[in-house]
Amino acid sequence: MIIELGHFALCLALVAALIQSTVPLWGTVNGSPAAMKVADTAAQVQFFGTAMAFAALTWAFVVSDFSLKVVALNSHSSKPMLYKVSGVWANHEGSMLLWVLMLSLFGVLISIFGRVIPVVVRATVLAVQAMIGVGFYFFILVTSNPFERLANAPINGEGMNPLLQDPGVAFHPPLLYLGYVGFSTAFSFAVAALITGRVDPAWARWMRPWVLFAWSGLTAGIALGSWWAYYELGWGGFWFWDPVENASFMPWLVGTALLHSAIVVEKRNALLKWTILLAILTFSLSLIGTFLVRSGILTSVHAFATDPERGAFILLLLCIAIGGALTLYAWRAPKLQDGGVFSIYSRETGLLVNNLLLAAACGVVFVGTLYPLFLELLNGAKISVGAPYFNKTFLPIFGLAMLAAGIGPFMAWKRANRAEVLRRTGLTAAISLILTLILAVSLGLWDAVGLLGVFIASFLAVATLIDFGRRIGLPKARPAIALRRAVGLPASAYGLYLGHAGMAIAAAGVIAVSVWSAEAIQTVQPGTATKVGPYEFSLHEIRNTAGPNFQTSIARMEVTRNGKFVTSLAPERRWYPVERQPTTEAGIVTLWHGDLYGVLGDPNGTGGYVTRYYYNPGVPWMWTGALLITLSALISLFDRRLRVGAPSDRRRMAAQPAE
Amino acid sequence: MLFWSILTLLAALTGLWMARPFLRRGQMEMDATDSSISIYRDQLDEVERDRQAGLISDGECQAARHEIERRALSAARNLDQGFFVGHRSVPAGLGLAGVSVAAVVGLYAALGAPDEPDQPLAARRTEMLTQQAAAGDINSSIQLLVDAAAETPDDFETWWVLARSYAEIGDNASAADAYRHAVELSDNNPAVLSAYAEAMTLANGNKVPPAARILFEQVLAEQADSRARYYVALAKAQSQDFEGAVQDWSRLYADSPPNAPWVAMIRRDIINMTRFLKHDIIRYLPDATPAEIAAAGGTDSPAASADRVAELTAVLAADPTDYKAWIALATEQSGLGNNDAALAAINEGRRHFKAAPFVLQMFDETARALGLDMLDRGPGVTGPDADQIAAVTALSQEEQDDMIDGMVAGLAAKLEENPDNLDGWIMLVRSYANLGRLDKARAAYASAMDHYDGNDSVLAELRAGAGEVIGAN
Repeated sequence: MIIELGHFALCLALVAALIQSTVPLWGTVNGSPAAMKVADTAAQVQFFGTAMAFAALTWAFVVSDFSLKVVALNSHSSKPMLYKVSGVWANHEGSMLLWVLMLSLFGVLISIFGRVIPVVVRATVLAVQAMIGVGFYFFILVTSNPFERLANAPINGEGMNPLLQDPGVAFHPPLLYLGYVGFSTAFSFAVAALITGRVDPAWARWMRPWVLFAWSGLTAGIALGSWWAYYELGWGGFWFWDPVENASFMPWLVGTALLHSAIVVEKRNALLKWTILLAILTFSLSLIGTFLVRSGILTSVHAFATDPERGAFILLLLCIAIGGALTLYAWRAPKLQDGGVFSIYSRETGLLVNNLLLAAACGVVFVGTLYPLFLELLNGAKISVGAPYFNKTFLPIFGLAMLAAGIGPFMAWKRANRAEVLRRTGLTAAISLILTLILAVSLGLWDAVGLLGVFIASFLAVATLIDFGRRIGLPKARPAIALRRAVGLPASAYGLYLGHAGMAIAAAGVIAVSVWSAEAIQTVQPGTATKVGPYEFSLHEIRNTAGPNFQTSIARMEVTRNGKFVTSLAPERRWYPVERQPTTEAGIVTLWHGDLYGVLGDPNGTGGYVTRYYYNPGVPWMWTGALLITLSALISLFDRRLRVGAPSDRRRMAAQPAE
Repeated sequence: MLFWSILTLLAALTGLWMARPFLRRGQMEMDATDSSISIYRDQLDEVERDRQAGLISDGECQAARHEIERRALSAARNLDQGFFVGHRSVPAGLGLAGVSVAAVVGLYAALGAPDEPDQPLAARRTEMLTQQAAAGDINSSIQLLVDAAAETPDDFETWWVLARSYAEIGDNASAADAYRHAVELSDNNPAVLSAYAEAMTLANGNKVPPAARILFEQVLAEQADSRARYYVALAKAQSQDFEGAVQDWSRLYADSPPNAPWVAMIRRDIINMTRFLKHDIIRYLPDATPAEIAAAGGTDSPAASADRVAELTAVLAADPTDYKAWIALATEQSGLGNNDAALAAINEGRRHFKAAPFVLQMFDETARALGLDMLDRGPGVTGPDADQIAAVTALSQEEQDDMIDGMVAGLAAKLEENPDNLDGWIMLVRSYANLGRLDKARAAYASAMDHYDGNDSVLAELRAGAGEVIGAN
């Protein structure tokens, strides 16, 4: 009965979404606040429905109810509990249910925390949100129903891809979906703005927390996916420019631009149309990502479902959503009035340049991802666009964007002091150049591209530090006053500094590991030492043991530096009998400057083993940077002004006679 | 019916909740301008803060202020335009709720499978076990019987069948426990008592415990049960009364029909006894064959046996994991009358195969065939019990390696007996490869290929599972 209640709840969610997408709009046209407020209650019922459906499906996975087709095909009674739960979304049907769960979660959050958003706007936003939902509920119920039953339930299931049986990847999809789906709120706000014709600073302020929330989820989701690839696939790589990765990276790039341009709308009432367009594009790219991953166009660990019917359905949804929104944009946007004007040297220009660079970066990723697919569609030719293309096109643009991110905060709104901006930029460049040279000389690293990268990363870091120092009054102010000012800075300022510092740290990590990592792949007898960069790795004994649902060989590898013991690694090779599939678990030890990374391969020939050893400098910086970026968005969320429409502190206002 | 009531109730409640705005009393809603003004207020606040912090000059501050105030004024101009007044509208609300209920229930009726019950695996235990038992899995049959016994603990037949099933899989301790229930329910039926005592004996490593001996004697007091006679004699032998034992057995032999299943066992025991006692076997077993006479007295040519002993000792020094050599050594030593040396060979072999129950069982059978288990220091017939497993986890790396060697050798032996075990072959090849014994891995792979010759799908699985590690693919 629980399962059938879940199925019923999913039907309930569809009906609630249908009501939510129609009745409130009728209300806005006819001036009926009751009808408009149905948007809130329907959003609540919709969430109740998806949550109940999701809970029922989770229950089915946990108790191994193989009368559900999706459980029988994707689970096994001997799987550890964590992976029974994460198995709910490690398949097509369940992940689509997670998708709509997230969508309805954002809807219900808007209905609860958006009380201060005027009812007309809220009703329109929630109605648009519900239209997206209706499309996906139909998609789920018609082509991918997770509640499909089997007439004869098997006694056990077929298991789950062992690569996905990993704590890192267990939470990658929910976070990623938090991002993908969270951008639907930006989309809904944009479409609502086009429908109601109202775009003003308040609009940007209502929208921005949702974008921040979604963006931080997407950042964490991408980082978690990359981290998983790094330690699970056993190649020491963290980013492969795989279309599926690009599918999540493109919304991130445009979402980053959106996050920044929304600030311009809020502060200066400028870049209105551009911001609306970015909001539409960000969610469109999320939908395209969903389409690429779900349609089976791409074969990868993500493509559980290679089903043309599903692909066609999502393509249809995509055309309606993107096409509809862009048509509305073309029709309504010219009527919108852009507000503030600004000079060349101004924060607005800085943010606009940054926006254009991010959009261009997204554009080259888009071309590199979709061009091979179109070509294959046209004449069946299979070409692969890989790292060389992206390194040549994406990296220069992104490097410029990082320089712009460093200079931007130096400039005041509207009209900045040109000489002052140039002076600070020069100072930053000089300090970064010295830092880069020190690094090159002291470590003897003379790779031109690497050094250029180091210069850019340190430029952003130094610029961020200088701006922070200036903001708290250094070097003129006394330390106590500077400290008091630092405490008094608004959360959004810390969001800026942490985010930019995180970006600089992550970039430094990426550059270090791309240019200066050392690797060695060889067949070794236990006991033989191999030189990897400044370290020596040696393989010691190999031990066989068994896990909950796998057998495993665990090796002990010792790492020394100049003869001194540094650490030991414990890589594994696992064998999952139910799925008949092996996996590798890399042995990784993290030092402050980099990772020592060892992989145990197959035994070979005469008692030797294929082993891969890596010294990956900068990798921990990458994860630290990603964590800082994620946190920066969350900290910005705590800014008093973003606590959606929280009334400002009137007592403080009263203390200021200048009002 | 209950299900549909719950559905309808849920649909009605959620429908009413959605319609709630229509059912509440009228209210006024403000338009958006108010919120814009609070933003301008924040901006003025921020400009003032920046000025105080010295980030912008007074002039800049004034200019920024003017601009913000200008915008705030234009927003305030729209302030009085937008507000809505709502009225309670019960018909609209109920209509909305009604449409929603009809739509949800109708949609579910079209898509759902309301008659399908939940089938969590735990609730499908009986179904699962029945299916597996039908496929010949005796452990599942036993689980079914255990469930049945828990349900009807007073049914003799269930306990009896359960006990016999346990005995069949060699779980003699559980068998003894089940027989005990059967004994109680059968009012001390001698046949049941005898089976119970036998299970106790087997659970005790084939050594007749005092309690079992008493039971056997109790059975004999009522009827001449052959099993009880055999075990009483065994008890005598085990208490070193070889004389009494051999007399009992030879009498039982004389009373038994020639095709009785226990005859071979008795002949073996008589031979062992006469060897221990150095008696003439013909006294007890007039129809002894020449081979039996040889086994009971000295061998035909002690010199040849001694050579063979030396040869086996050398083989075992080189490779102590050759369990057949250990068995052969024990047999030769026993033939030479060196019972202690034979026992030592068995015990040494057991030490190398601690974790391979299958090989341990072969050692036990050998010991029993040679009568070594009658001796004081004979090995117990046990699989790895909790103590042993605990001991294994406390082993040093070297000992663990030894143990793994033993396990692999045990697996190899098992596959020799019963080669129809694909997973076993794959595991064997991979294990050898892991241990670095590529030659053995290749040999095992080749045997497996031979065994499955012609069965392409299995060969493909074999290649996928094991070919790679030895570089055969």
